[in-house]
Amino acid sequence: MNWQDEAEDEVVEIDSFIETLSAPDPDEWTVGVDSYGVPESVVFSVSGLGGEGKSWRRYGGTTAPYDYLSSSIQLVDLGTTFVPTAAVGYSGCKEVELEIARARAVVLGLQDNWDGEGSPPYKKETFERAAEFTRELTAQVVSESAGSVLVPVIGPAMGGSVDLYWKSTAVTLLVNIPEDRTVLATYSGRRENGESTTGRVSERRETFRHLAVWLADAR
Amino acid sequence: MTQWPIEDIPDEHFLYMRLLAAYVVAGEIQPGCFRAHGSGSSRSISTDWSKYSTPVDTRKRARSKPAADYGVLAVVVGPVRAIEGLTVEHAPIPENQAHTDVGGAIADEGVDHTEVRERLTAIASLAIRPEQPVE
Repeated sequence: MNWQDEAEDEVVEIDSFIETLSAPDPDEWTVGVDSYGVPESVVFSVSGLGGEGKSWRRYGGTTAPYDYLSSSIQLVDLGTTFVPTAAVGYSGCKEVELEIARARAVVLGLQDNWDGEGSPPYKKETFERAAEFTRELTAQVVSESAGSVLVPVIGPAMGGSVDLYWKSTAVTLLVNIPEDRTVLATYSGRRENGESTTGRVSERRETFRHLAVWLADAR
Repeated sequence: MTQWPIEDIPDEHFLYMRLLAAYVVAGEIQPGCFRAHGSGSSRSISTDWSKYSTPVDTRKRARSKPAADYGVLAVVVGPVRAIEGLTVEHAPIPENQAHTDVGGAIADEGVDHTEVRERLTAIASLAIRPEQPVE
């Protein structure tokens, strides 16, 4: 099972679980729009679903799994029920959400033959997989090393795929999220000392840890 | 049949390539701009050799969309050739003596070329920003 399948299974699992509870309408968890124009997230935890410390984030109508966003988020064991624990703009990731919002408008706004070369429009599902990849890798970077987060640029690539491109003076990393979800994402990075890394995202946690260290060590 | 002779391109010369505004974010070139066109053995990235073109000329040769929709990037030939699997070949066409193909590994269809595109992005620089007015 690749990381996309794992993520989808987890989202389906939490959405199904939410439906069984007599809880507030999940839409009520979104607590408004912050000063950057980004809807703030509500983070909550559920016991008995994924283990202690498992947190879930509802953002912009999407429920997504997170192991940890940052050490500043307080996770609360709520027994058999759940409530939002905090409305957070999760420090260090706000810039990422801004980039996702910017790129979503650009990439999903590209119409048929947008490049004059006959390219089709991009699929929302492909973009959202790219956005989730960005969030998960960012969360992993935060967990690997405190400090500022390098923000990628999310952009259109060939064949309906979406690129995630991190660049600083010390490091680059390019991840390509294919339109076909059965095809593995690929990555390639380079450091200023000439060191490089390249491969496919065949196992999510292992690869995320590798890429997070790659980005965190070079900040 | 072209009337222009095919020449050897020195490593220290430049290649120019148009790129749409969607591929420039905060003044930075994005890797998605490097994509091959055409089919079969003619599939390649189209560029212009600096011996016979300026960045302004390259921008004005836009046909699919208005020139104002594009910026122009520049790369030095040697570092392009140094990327494993890439070739640089002068391929003049009747209306453009500067036309040059970057082919080889980037030309394979159905492949994302992540490593090659990452390396090309690292050696490219903007010669004309998309927001600059057309001369």
